[in-house]
Amino acid sequence: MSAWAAGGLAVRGLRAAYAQAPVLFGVDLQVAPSEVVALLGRNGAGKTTLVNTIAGTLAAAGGTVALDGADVTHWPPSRRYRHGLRVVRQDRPVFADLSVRDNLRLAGAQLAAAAALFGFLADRGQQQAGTLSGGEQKMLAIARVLMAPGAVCLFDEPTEGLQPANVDRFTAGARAAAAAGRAVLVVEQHLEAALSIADRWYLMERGEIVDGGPVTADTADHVADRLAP
Amino acid sequence: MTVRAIRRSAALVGLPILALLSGDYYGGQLAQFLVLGAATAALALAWGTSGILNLGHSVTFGAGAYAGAWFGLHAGAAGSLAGLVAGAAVGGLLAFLVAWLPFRRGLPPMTFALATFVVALGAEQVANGWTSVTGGFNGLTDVPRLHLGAAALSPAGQRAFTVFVAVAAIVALSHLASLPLGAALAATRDHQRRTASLGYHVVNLKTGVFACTGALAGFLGAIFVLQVGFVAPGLVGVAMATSFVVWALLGSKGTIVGPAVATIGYNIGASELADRALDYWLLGTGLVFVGAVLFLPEGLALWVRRLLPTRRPPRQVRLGRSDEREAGPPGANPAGDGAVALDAAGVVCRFGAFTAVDGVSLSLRPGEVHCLIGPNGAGKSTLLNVLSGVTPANGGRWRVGNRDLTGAPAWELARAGAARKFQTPSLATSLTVGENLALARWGPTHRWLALLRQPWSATVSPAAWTVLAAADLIGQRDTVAGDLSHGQRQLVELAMALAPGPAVLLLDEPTAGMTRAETAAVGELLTELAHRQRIAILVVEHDTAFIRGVADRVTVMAGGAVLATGTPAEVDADPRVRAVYVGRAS
Repeated sequence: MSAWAAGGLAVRGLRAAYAQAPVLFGVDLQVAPSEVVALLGRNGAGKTTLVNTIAGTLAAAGGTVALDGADVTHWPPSRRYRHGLRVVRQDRPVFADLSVRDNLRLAGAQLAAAAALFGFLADRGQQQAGTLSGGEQKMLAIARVLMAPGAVCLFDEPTEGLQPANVDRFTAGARAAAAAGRAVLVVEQHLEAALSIADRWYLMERGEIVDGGPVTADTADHVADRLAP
Repeated sequence: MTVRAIRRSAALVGLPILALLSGDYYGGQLAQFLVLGAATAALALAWGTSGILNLGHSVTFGAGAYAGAWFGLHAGAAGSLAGLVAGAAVGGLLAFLVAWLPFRRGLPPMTFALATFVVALGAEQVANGWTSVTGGFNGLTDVPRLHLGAAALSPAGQRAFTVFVAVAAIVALSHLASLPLGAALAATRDHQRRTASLGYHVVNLKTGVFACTGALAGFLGAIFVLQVGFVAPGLVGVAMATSFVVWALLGSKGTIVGPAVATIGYNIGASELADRALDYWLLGTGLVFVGAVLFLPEGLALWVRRLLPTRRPPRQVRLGRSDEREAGPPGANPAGDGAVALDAAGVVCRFGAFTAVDGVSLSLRPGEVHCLIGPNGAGKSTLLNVLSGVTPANGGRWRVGNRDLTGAPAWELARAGAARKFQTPSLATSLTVGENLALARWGPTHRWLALLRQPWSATVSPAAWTVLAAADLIGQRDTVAGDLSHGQRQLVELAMALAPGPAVLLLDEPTAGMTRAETAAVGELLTELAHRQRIAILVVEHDTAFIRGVADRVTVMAGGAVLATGTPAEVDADPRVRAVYVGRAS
């Protein structure tokens, strides 16, 4: 129960299904404030489904989701957002018809702050977000979450399509968010990037958490073994 | 005979007999409503199956009715038959004229829908105003029944004929939707750009299906007028057009029989209620519609299908693997090492004042993996879009093999042997893995009429088969693509690009969202495809380890221009590349 009182994100026995097909089978997961947690797993393990269920875009079929001590399992996504949940989805999650500046402003982020993270944004304030390249849109979405308040941040495959230098900028930004007391959950395929910033990790398989623990020197090898076909 | 064939035959024989036995009033109503139902089914094929919302379906139906009436009244004994032909011709021509330019110019679906609505508004005005031909406000009345020889059919004969034709039309539409052509239409609806890149001329496909549904609606309009004996301006107007849309929605627009049944059910209910409670039926049906849209947004047919205990099994697609020795890429260039698979020179692409690609030249040799790297926003995806005919260029020339394909549209590139995989998964999410693969396999070589006869089987290239087998996807061929995970979709898309055995493969971030092990497997596969089957592969990637492992040559782009080209080692050592790309000492 301590995690509930302590805030951050706490998921207990979460189940979810698409149509009639169950995808999550009782997931337990916890991200404390000031902590970066990596969620790892193969394709189809249910990671994105878990993110969607935490975000409230997919209804939970059982179990609970707690945000900052409040049971939000049956809240709509908008109310979870107001309670401090920030999500960067895997696809291009920007408002394509709005300018870069307006995309940031909607989330309460300043262009200058976003540009401090990803420099290219500095002179793109007026550009329509939909005309950015794929990677640039992803960075805009990341900056929108990292550079605005919000107690819990979820990133679904944030480094997909980013050049190495920008992957580094994301990891630095995520660490800084945790240092500022935010709870950060990162879903990643790139083990190195994920484990380089994570305090703890979880491994998902077939809709369940099957392994996990604090990140140590041999976590990368251990997980790579488990992910090997 | 399959259950479906028995059901269809029973409807074709049974319903006309029912119309014969039901007497003038009820039989006549059945005939009338069935024609409307068939017309709604035609709308469902255009809207539900193909994604073209038509808010002016009444125009083709009503114009066909006017044409049928005019010939019936003015052309003597042969007039009624000529009227049927004229109805189909007028409906088809009108639909073609409405669709041709908007589809060619790529109007968004909602804009097109509004255009059809305006056409319906105008058509009602014409029907009211062009008195000498349409009879104006009163319409055309006392249209004779169908003449066979010199004598007109009896009322009972006319009813049986009308019902038979309407049922035949519904059966034909339903059959069409289940053919490979129907799947190509659904793929176009789900992802038009991608379907074009598979080798389908989507503009012709959409224009064709729209004109055909218009011709069928016109023909049914002419049948309708033979049945009821008169036509008035209301039949071409927006109220009628809206009714078609509502009926299709009520019956599940994604199906064919559902909208037809909903039309009949609604009209029977409406005519009964109109007799008994004239004042309230309009209000009542309005409430039913609001309720249906709120609580049954998928429509009645899909709701019923979900309730039924036995689910219809998905269409089984037989997938085979072609013989390695036979699988020569369509655009393969048998020439020696000096040959070029794809050659681009001075490509320029601007978006307004912004120059995304600024004079890029690049050549791909058969049998090489060529990686295209660069900072985010360097213009890599735009270059790929230009070369694959998705985005128009402002300058430059490019060819595949020996064919100049500068400015060629996506489908032509696919037919020339250049396959494309997009950055984000873009397969037809409503179709199964097998259907997607089959469409991809047929794309570059298909002919339209062949898609009507094509059985549901496809022989994919060994390369595609390898991807499917490695990813355990062959067992999932009957899974709907929308139910796959992100990474699985990426692999299906890779297999789709490879399915026809292309000579050139353009891949935009093929390993995005894959684990390290999967990435390594894809890398090995690409190397093998290039080196053993002489496919030229251009890959946009960011994963430096992946690039070092697979690339024969690397081109680095920055700010829309080529910064460097060379072997991975050469490019790695280039200080300019390190400065713009990696941005760290590693």
